[in-house]
Amino acid sequence: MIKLSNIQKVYRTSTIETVALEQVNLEIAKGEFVSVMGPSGCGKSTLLNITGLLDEPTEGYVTIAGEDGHGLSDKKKAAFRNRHIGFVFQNFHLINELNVLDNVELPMLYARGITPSERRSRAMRVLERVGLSHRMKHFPTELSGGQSQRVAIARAIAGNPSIILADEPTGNLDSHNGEEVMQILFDLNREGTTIVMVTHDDKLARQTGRIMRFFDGRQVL
Amino acid sequence: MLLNYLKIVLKTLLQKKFFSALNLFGISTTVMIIMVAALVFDNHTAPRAPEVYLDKMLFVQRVKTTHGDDWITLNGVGLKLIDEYLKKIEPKPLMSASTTEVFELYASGRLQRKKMILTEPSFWSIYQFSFQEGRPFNLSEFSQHEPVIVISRMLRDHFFGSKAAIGQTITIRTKEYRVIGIVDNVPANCSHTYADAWIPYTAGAFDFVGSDDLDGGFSLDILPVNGQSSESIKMAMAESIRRLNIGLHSSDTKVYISGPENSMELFARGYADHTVFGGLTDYLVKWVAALLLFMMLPSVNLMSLNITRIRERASEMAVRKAFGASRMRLFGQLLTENIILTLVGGIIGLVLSVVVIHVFSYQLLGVDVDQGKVALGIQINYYVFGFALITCLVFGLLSGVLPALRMSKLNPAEVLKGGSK
Ligand SMILES: Nc1ncnc2c1ncn2[C@@H]1O[C@H](COP(=O)(O)OP(=O)(O)OP(=O)(O)O)[C@@H](O)[C@H]1O
Ligand SMILES: [Mg+2]
Repeated sequence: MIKLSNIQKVYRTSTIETVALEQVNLEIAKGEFVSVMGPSGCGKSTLLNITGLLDEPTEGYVTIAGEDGHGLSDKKKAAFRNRHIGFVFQNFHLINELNVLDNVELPMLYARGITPSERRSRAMRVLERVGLSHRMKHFPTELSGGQSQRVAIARAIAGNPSIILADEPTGNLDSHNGEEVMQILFDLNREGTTIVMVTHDDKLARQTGRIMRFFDGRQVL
Repeated sequence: MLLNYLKIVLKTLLQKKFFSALNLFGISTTVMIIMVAALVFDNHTAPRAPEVYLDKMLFVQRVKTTHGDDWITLNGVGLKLIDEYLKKIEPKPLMSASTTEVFELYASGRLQRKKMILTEPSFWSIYQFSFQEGRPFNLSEFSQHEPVIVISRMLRDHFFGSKAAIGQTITIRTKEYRVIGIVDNVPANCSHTYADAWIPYTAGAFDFVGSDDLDGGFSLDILPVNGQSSESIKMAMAESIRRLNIGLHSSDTKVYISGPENSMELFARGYADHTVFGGLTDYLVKWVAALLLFMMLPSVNLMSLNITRIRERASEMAVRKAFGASRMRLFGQLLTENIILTLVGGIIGLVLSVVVIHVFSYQLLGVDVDQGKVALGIQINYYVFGFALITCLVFGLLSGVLPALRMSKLNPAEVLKGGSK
C-alpha cells in the first residue's frame, strides 16, 4: 500500500541545514495500523507529510496506493490526496469560520461527482459515526478538544479514503477523549482502512499492529 | 462545472458571514465615498444648463490687497478693477461682472431666503437660460439703469399665479421692477447661475457704478471666444494687474487677483487656505491626494484586516490543500471570492451612494434648502464607479488573494505540522 524508498529530507535555510529524514525505507501493507514513535524533532511529522504527498522528499521515492508520487503535478497530487488520503492533525486545524458540518464537507467539495445533497448526507453520516450529530451547526471554537478531534476525524473519513495519516491525534486530548478517538480509529482499521499514526504514547502504540521507531531522522527499529 | 464552482465559492462566502460582511462593508463604503466625492467634484466642474460652457470658463472672484508686510484685506472684486483693468485686455473674451443679493419671500408657510443676481447683458450670452416668456435685458436697458427684471418660473407663480406676468411690476427689497422675462427654474447647485431673479446691476438698490474701490462685491465670469486660450487670458490679466500695481500711489500696497481660475481651481479654492492666490493647482493635487487617501481608508482597513487574518487563512489554505484543492483551484477560488465580493460590494456601494446623494444632496452640494431643487442629473458617473470597483479589486487582490496564495505556496506541510514544540 505504502512504500518509501531511500527517503531523505533536508531543510535548508540560508544559514543552516537540518536533516529531518535520512535513508528511510519502509513498507506498509494494506489494512495495517502502524504507530510511528520517536523523540520530538526526529522527523515524524515530516515522514507523514511526505507519505501523504503533501511535502516533497529531497531524495527518494514514495509509492502509495499504486501511485508513484515522484513527478506528479500539483493538480494530480491534490486529486490523489482527495481520493485516497485523510489527514488528522495534532492541532485539529478545523476552519474556524465554518461550522462543523461544513468542515466535514470540505474534502468532498474538491471531489468529482458528488452532489450537494449527497455531500450533506455523507457528512451527517460520518458525524453520527463519531458521535457528534448534535453538534453539526456548532463552530469549532465552541467545541472541546476531544470533540474537535472527532470532527477532524470525521472530516478525514468523509471522502472515504483508503489511508488515514494521523499526526498525534490524541496529543492534545486527555486520556478519556484519547481513548474515544482511538476507538474510532480502531473501528476504521477493522473495516479495512490503512492507518499510520504518530504518537508519543507507548500504551496506545502497543495496541496498534506495528510500531516504527525513529531517532534523528532514521528508523531505528 | 462552472456553476458548481461558483456555488462552492458562494457557499464559502456565506459560511464566512462575518468576514464577508466586513469585506462588503469596506468595499461598499469605499465605492460610496468615491462616488459621492466624484459627484461633488462633478457638481462643481461639469457643464450643464444653464452653465453649458463651465468647462471652458474662467472666473475672477477674489481680490487680495497687501499693505506692507502684515496687513492683508481679502474681498470680492470691485467694479473699478473690472472695468478699468480686467475688461481692458485684448482680444476680448465674453465677460460679465455680477454680484448677488438675498431677498426674503413668504412662501409655503414660511419666510424663505432667495437669491437675486445683479449682472450685465453679456451674462445672457455666457450662460444659456431657457426663456419661457419674454427676453433678457439688453445693453440699452443696462446703460439706462432701467429697473427691469427676469424672474424664475417659481417667482412668477408666486407673484402672479396663472395671470400674465410680462410687463407687470414686482417689488423686491422696496424697489419696483418691471418683469421682462421668465426663465425655467435654475437648479440650486448651479453655483454661477442659480437665482430666482436677475436684474442689471445698474438698477440695483445700491449704486455700485462709479465706486472707486478696487475690491468689492463682484465676481467676473469669463468665456473665451474664437479659440482664445485660457493661458493667454490669464497672462493678459496678470499684465493688467502688474500695470495697476505700478500705477498705485502707495508703493507699499499691492493688489492680487485670484486666477483667473477655471472651475476645477474654484473647486480647489473651496478647500484651500483662503489667502492662497497662486498655485491652486498644487493645492488641488494635494487635496485630491489627501482625499484619495481618505477614500482608501476603508480599503486600507480591509487590507490590514486581511493581513492580520493571514495566519488563520494560511491554516485554511493548507487544510484545503491537504484535502484535495490544487494550487490553481485555490487561486481560482480566492480570485472568484474576491471578484464576487467586490461586485456585490460595488453594487451595494452604488445603491448607498444614490441614497446618500439624494438624502444629503443639500449638505453635500452646500446648497440652502430654501433655494429650491438641486439637479442630480449627473449623479452616477460610471467611469468613477468603474474606478472605484477596480480600486477595491486591487486592494482585495493585494491584501487577500496574493498573501493567501503565497501562504498556499508556502509548504502546507509546515503550516499543518504542529507538534510538541
Ligand atoms: N520548515 C523547516 N525548516 C527547517 N527545519 C525544519 C522545518 N520543519 C522541520 N524542521 C526540522 O526537521 C526536524 C524534524 O521535524 P518534524 O516536525 O518532522 O519533527 P517531529 O518528529 O514531528 O517532532 P514533534 O514530535 O515535536 O512533532 C526537526 O529538527 C525540525 O527542527
Ligand atoms: Mg510533529
